[in-house]
Amino acid sequence: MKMKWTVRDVGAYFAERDYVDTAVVPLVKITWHNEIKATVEQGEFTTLMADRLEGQLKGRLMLFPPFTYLKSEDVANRLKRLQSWMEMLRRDGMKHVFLITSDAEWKTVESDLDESLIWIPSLPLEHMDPEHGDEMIANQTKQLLQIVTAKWQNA
Amino acid sequence: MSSEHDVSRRQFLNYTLTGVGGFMAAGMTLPMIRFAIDPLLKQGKGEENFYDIGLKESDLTEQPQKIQFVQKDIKDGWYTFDQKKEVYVFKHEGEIFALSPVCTHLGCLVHWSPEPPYANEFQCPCHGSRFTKTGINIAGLPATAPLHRYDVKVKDGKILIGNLHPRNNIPAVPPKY
Ligand code: FES
Repeated sequence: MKMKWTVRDVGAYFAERDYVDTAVVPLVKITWHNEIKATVEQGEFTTLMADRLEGQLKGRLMLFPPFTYLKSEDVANRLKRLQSWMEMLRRDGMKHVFLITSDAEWKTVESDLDESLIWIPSLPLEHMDPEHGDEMIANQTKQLLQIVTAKWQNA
Repeated sequence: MSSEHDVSRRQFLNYTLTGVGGFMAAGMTLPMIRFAIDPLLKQGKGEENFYDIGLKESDLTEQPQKIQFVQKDIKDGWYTFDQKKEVYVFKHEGEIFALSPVCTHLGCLVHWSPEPPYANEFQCPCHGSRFTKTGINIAGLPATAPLHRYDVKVKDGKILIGNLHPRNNIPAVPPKY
């Protein structure tokens, strides 16, 4: 079974919804103006980590498409939009929502995101040889996993 | 907005994670994880494909080791891709075992633990299923089938992994804990 935003996976969700109580939403910033490369790097890393998390814990979580926002959008506005995602998810059965991002700007509004934010600094993967990169990703995934399972246990 | 002096549990975790990130950037490695980037892939009609997972027979221990390997050209619906897979490999009573870590309940990846509370069992982080060392499901938990097992062969001292098989005919074992 898999738990991604596809028709087949959502079908699996309906069959097993009692066991799937966690939503994962990657937060990805978009710009086509300046600091493009750094922004893309962050977004790519965020998506990658969310994907790895889903790979490990697919039986209990559903990976949603990324919540995207323009670099130029003001933070209050982003927050408002994101909160409406979270409200919907909670109302419709998701006991846990994990927001995954490498964008440090979210940390400034972290207290408005009720314990859901997991910030992971992105790694400069393009400068690493594949094997080393793989190992670092595996290590980061492991840390992420520990955070998520700890939250499950303390719930 | 966020209060500067309130270090919540979550922030603590975030800071810890940042710290760990920096530490890992310094080159930390996990001894139990290995990678094999280029698997030996032989395409043959009706013939089983065996993958070199980068482990020698002499490296085998009684403790399960988690090995990652790449399986090429997997087809999933419309997509074709290479997939990284994990397998737990070990020797048990002279026999080589290669078990898939995919929980037979809903597919989370199980972890091997030599330590309490569930020593020498595979545990699933999602809904608490557990499996014995040879991958047999423990009764009364969500998973109702054993972990799937790979065919294994040894060639020139190297461990090769073949097809994956379910083992639905093996009964669950009663819990030890
Ligand atoms: S997926 Fe392993 S117990 Fe549910």
